[in-house]
Amino acid sequence: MIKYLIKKIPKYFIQFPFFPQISEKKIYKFFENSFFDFPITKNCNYHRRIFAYNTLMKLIRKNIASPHNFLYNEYGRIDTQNGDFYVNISYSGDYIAVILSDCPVGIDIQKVRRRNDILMKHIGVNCKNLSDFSATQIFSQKESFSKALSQGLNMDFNKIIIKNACTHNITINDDYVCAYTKGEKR
Amino acid sequence: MTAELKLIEDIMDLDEGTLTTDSILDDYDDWDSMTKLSLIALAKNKFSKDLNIEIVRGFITAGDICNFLNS
Repeated sequence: MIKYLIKKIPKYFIQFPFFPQISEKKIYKFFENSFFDFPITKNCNYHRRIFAYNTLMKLIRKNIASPHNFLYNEYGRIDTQNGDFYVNISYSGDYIAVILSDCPVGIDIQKVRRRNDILMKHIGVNCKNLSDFSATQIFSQKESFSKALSQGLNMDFNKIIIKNACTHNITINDDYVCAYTKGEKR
Repeated sequence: MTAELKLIEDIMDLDEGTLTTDSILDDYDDWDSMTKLSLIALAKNKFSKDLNIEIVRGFITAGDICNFLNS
């Protein structure tokens, strides 16, 4: 089972005047009182995170009967408490992507950027003749794979070999790419 | 510092002169996973520095990155 949602963040959500005035402490409080165990990190993009979590909760409510508590693993990635289902979120630019599955799963959305040859070499991609779109797509596939393993950027992307059987692209538009990887049931 | 800032602007796909050493990285949409990994690759390739994601997550301003690259 794979269910995903990709949404453009509404402008009113970003521009809502109340948000910038909320202190970090209050934001932590908000998450403490919600279903989430929010990792206390220094760098957070709260607007996108809150929008992504709201979207994720809608997806869970629609597809799973009871709400669950989220836990974070040692890499700061969401893990589920009982392993019944797996969730993952990603955001880039104006978009967020959330995914829900009965297997370990990772999703990544990326705004298409100018191809960076040093990065491509670093992640083991021969970038000759690759368009900006394709280069970003390969990066997105690799990141979704690393997220499916709950490792994210801690993983060596050079060692990731993408197999079409488990990693899939999601078409959005010419400016954004998205990919998800579904792992094996544990 | 200017040369390093230019390199950071380049990997973040920002116009030249956008960043200063005081620029808060989280204020920029392009301070994302791709930029962070690009920075790790850049540090290794051009500055022979071993950078990992934990160190990158600790960078608050563009100046923090410049200081690391020049250390």
